[in-house]
Amino acid sequence: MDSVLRAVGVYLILLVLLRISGKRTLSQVTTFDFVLILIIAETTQQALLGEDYSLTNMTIIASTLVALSLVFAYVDFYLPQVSKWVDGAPLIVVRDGEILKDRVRKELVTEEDILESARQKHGIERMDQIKYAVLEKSGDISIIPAE
Amino acid sequence: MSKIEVEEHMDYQRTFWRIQRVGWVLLASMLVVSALGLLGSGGPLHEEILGAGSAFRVEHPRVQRLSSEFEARFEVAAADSLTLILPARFFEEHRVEGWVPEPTSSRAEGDEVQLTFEGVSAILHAKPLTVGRKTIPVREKGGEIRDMSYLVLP
Repeated sequence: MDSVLRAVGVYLILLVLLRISGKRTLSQVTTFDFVLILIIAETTQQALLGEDYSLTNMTIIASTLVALSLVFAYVDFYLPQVSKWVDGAPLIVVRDGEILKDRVRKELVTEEDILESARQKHGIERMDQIKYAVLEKSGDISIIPAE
Repeated sequence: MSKIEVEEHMDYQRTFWRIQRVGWVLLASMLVVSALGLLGSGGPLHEEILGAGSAFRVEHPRVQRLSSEFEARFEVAAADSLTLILPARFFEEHRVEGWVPEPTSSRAEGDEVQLTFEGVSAILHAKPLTVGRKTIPVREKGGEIRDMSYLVLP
């Protein structure tokens, strides 16, 4: 029982922390993000396992995490109103070459982030060549070029 | 030109941004509280001293963490040896990792445990086994009672 509670606790705490940190935090694995992932993994390991390194404990914890993931997948599918609180929702940040300033400020997305994504995905050179840029749930920026 | 098919949920987005900002404030507050030592493991407010300047002095952390070792210090003035009396439930709620120095004798009497040490001070190393607020009355034999009160975090 303790192992299940630990796994649920760690999962929910990380979920809340990553959600309030914003979409962009772990969307691109920069050197900083990579270090962050490694440190978070290391710090949560002890809280998950406690002092029990047995195969049984590992199986219970892994099963709990997979079950939670399944629960959230069901929520995502059947309860979209709840799902957006867990996963977030896409957000248009550029419309017809115009940056929607209020939105990018709230999401801490820079103009350079959008142009970088546009260059990488479509070889776009300027903002006015972008019809839509969408900050996806994953934190990735989708680019729809102007025709 | 066709319109992009993206469900934005702007009402949700605005509410979420507000919640996110509150989350940032809570996160920063937690770091400050932690730096002060009120979430355990060091910091300026980490330790509580009971009976400072009196014949029986106890130092213990205000906040502890489940299964993490903590240190408590017991000291008597004007005596050749120290005899501590702790409630038996302390040993049910904590795992004692050791004493410095080790007690020369220990005896269970009813629901209390009596420990005698050479010298006038002893340091306890223990790990809490349950969470919640604990109040442990510690008595020096023939002397005063000090209530060690602390919170054990999960």
